[in-house]
Amino acid sequence: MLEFFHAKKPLFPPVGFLCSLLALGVGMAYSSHLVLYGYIAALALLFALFGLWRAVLGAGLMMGCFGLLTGVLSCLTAGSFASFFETLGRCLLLGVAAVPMLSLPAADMTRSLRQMKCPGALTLGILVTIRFIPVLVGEVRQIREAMKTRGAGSAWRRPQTIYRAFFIPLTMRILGISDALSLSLETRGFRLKNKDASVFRPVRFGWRDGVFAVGTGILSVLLGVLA
Amino acid sequence: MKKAVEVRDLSFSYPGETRKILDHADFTLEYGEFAVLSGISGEGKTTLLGLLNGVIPFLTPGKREGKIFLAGEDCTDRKAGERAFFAGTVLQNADEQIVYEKAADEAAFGCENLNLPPEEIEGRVDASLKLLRIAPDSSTRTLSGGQKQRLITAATLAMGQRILFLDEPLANLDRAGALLLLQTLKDLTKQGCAVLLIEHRLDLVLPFADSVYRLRQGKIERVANVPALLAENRRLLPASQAQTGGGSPLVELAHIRYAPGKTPLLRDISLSVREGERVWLLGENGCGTTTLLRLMARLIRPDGGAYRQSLLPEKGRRPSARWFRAAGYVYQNPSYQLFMPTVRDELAVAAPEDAYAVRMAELFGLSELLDRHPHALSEGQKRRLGIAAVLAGQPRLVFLDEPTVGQDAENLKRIGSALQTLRQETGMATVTVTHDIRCAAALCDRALLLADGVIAAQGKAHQAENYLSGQPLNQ
Repeated sequence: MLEFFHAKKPLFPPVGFLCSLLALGVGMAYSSHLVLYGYIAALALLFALFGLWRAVLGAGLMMGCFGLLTGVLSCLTAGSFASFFETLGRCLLLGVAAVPMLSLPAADMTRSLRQMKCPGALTLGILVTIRFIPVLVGEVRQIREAMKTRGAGSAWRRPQTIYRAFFIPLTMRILGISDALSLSLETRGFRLKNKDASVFRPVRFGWRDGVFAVGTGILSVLLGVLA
Repeated sequence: MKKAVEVRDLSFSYPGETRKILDHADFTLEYGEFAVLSGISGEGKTTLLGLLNGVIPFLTPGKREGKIFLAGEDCTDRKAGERAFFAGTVLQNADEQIVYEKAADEAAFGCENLNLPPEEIEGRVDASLKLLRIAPDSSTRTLSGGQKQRLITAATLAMGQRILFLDEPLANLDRAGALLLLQTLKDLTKQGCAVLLIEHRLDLVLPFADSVYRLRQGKIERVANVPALLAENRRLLPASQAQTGGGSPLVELAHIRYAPGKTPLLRDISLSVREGERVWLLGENGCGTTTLLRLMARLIRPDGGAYRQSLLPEKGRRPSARWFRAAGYVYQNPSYQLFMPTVRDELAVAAPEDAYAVRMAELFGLSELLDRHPHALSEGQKRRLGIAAVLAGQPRLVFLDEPTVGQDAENLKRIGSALQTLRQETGMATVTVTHDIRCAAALCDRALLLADGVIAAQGKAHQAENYLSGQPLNQ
């Protein structure tokens, strides 16, 4: 599933990760200003120029729809249109800012952390997190299908059945998968204190990554100035 | 000369249990030896493997006494990550172990953990992937179950340890894939490696094995009469009366086409399943047998062709809940379909009355487990429950996806016997996907071989057995 967010030429992982954090942090700090929309549009353009246009469209659309819904709710509860625009803006920001992070292949991420001699616990945590998102999505899809085969797919008059038929298998699968994954990592030699793990295909910082980082930085500064 | 594996006076029990899985057991594995560990589910084969590779007691707790030596070194107090320098382990459920998107990266993961030089990793990865016929740049997401199993095995082989432990590595592998792996392991033992394999598909494994072991009452015993064991294992299920045709068609497919990506997986499929008939779908890993099964069950829609069913009058293209009562679908992994608090409740979901639920429990050997939580059962018991829970709804047609994976002889007999009884009582038709030769006589009236997106050949049960033994299907 995360392959959808990948570019043909991936970013240097720390750059992608830090730019995502920067965009999110700065954006949230100025989320009550309308200039945020300009910031989001400029970020989307920058990311698209670096091969992430599909991811930007997908994430933007998804979070945009979510933002519309939550924005309406926020407007109704707060009683002001400003609340709608702020909520929508934050949701769009979350979607677009996450794109550089989501675009990082798990292998590149792990290798760059190893090259930087990061603690094994951090590498493990990020590896499992990256792995788990598509796994979770796949499992939810599978369970929803299985619910249909047991007649619990649309038993709206029996919410307890739907609840059980979804959450019990999901919980068991998550537990089973996390067990299997941790066993597999250990039996394949992964050790938390192993800072000398080699790197099959080293990940290197290039001029593209520098341009990307500087671009994100300039846009963030501009937001601060204009807001 | 140092032994590859040596176990001295090993005892083990799980927390809170008085029963000892291993009771002062001794075992040795020599370099150059290909050993098979067989036996019924729940005896402790995977537990023994866990003790050898360090998973137990460091990740899975328990009370352990005794000594474990790997490559002549005392590894009793070393964790799994440290023991990985001596011994490689291939676990079950490859799907849950893959961490990277590309096959080459996955294969290199273990080598990186062992601090091997990058230039050496490249050569090892290429060699192991080539050996098990996985393209290095394939996306792990789109590999079939059998291909994923081969990938995980290749990843372990790339690590280059001289001792290998494999826990049911042939599950999901077709005959060609299984023989490829077994020959690779045999070649490694000829080069001086030691292999310990846990497997139920003895018909495939025994011709390659140098020794066979069983766990009995906490001891690890060498089996003296291997030919007898093979004969006992080969045909576990007696043949039942074949359906000779004539029943009305329940499901008909005409020129069905299905293309999940750019290349069609199913190009031109035409077949029908009649009342009371038992159809077996055969084919190599990745050829589309499970996809075809799901399509027949209406879990996915074809991209072209005509689909007709006479089980239920249905409006609309989406299958209703009533459809899945009439046409049951049993997943390979029962965990997806079990969600009630007890076995009794699970069976009662679809059963027309409680008495029938109890009858299903008797048929599938679950009577003593009625008050247990489904997810607290052993894997073999869960699988039987998964099948029973679907069949409790008295479907006229059942789709079974690899119902025999990981099943020992006893469980297989129970499942086969129950399916035969229900078929005689209800006239239920079945469509099964499996590579397991042990089931041919009991689960097959007609075998269909899927290849290159079409039904390439058809045959009867004995021909299916021959196919799984390496001959053409229609011979």
